[in-house]
Amino acid sequence: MKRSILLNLLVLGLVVTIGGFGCKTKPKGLTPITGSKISTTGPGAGPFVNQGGVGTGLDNAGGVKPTDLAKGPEGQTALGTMDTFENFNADREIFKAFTVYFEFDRSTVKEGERSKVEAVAAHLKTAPADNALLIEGHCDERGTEEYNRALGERRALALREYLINLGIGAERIRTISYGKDKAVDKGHDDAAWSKNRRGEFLLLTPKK
Amino acid sequence: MSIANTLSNKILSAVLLAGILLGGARASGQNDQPLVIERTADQSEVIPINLSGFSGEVLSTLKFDLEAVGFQVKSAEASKYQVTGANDSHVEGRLTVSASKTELLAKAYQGGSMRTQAHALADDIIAAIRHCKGVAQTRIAYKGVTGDTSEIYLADYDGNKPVAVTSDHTIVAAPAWAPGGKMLYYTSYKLGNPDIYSHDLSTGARKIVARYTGLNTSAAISPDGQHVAMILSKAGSPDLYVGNVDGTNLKQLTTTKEDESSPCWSPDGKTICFTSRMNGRPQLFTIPAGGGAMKRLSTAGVLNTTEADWSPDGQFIAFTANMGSFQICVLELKTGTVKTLTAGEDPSWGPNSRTLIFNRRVGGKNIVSLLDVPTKQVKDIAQISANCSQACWAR
Repeated sequence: MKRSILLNLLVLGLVVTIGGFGCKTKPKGLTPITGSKISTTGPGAGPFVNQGGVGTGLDNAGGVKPTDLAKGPEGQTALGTMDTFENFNADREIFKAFTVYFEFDRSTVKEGERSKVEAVAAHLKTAPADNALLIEGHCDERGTEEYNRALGERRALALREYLINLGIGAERIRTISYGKDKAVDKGHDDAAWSKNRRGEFLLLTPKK
Repeated sequence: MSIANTLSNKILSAVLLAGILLGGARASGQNDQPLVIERTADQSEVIPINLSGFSGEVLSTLKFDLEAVGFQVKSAEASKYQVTGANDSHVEGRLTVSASKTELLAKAYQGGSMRTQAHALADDIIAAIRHCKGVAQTRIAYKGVTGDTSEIYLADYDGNKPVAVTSDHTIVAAPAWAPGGKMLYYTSYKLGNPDIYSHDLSTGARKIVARYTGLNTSAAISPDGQHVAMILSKAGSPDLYVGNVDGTNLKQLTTTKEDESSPCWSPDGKTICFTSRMNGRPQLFTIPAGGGAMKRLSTAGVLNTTEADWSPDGQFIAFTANMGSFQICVLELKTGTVKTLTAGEDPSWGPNSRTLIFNRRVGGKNIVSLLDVPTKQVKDIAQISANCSQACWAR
């Protein structure tokens, strides 16, 4: 109890000191994702399924009467940047030829893949300013899931950094990692894996 | 049942009374005898045990529970211990040592289902022989995949009574229990982004814990239930953060240019163990939960270490290593020695600090299995259909 109060004070102190979301602690070469906003006080993200009672955690003894799960409210979660992206159409086909492939366990954009990123940057520079980009990071099936979820995000962010260096505004780019959840090739060999370690570009255009 | 009839009325009524006094299906010897967890050499011995007088679901439940902690059910002649009993109107059993005929246990159980009574008997047998906290009445959460989507499921630890707790029709992953087993945390892509939710299993109410632009995943709740460690990418790279359990008072603990992943807490709540690729390949690190310097966790002899889980007794860290194939490893913190146990990924400790639940690849599918660490005995959870993963043990 005492320890958690101390920790809270420590955390509070840090938040007060650096404000925002800690951009002063970022190392060189990383571009914080602006527009990040948290919602913890709003309604939940219902609707919520009622599966006929999950009971209460550990008490799975047959003598324990299960409690029906309440239906959550229909939730609307206000989010700065993300909301605006949700009003976009996503075109997966336009940059299909520019899908970038990665080495196993690596998030570095290989030299041979850079011309693809440059092509995407060139398109964005001539595209209307309200067009944006969604970068999906993916991994092959090897390795644990959360490790790959982080690695997929790192890959998408590596592509983002490359685009930012080419002059594309950070506010036009959003990333999402699917880890190893969305393989394009369901095989279990090198050929499949090399196709699955990828960054995909989706052009976002405002819904009219 | 002839074996049931051999139980004297005197013993039966005495133990029945004890069972009633202890209350319901939770009746067991655990409440009235202090358990001392000893790690002696014979903990690594697979113990042959005979079951007689049981049938159907009670028999299969007892067999599973015992084999999950390093027993093998064998013939009476081949067994070191004998369990005789019955399951007519209730479960009852007595445990004797084969050689000396010493009786270690004689109990009958009331309340709950026959299955729950069988679990209670199994826990008592395990406590009497292994001196180990029973896990037969515990629960797990896991990710179950159907087509292109996945949901979070809960089940008994043996895979029985599975029930979906989400119906988001998208990817839902990374389930994590809060201590006490009444709150679950997970990552759902429901709102178009991987976000962390808390989910009250009593009321069904769920709340967003972290929904920043970018990655929000791998929630791990501190042992005191007050804080959440998680991976967020809002500073431009997947980093480790700690906040209050509702997501407020956020503090960024790591600032590496590469990604961090899958945090877990030490049982005293002071330290977080996690994976970082800061040196180019995945390695385990520790960091003070209140912030401080990252420290490499030495895992001599194994490489590419991910997905750590700290045992509830504080003595071990289980993790995955990749040395061409993925292996479940356990680091003993006192000695610094690493043992490679079996092929698999993503271990999670049971509340007994002895059994791990983990993932095995069988024919391209993910199977959830149990691993008894001292004996290295593996038991697949047949109840859970293929393509389940990220099993996490309530404790």
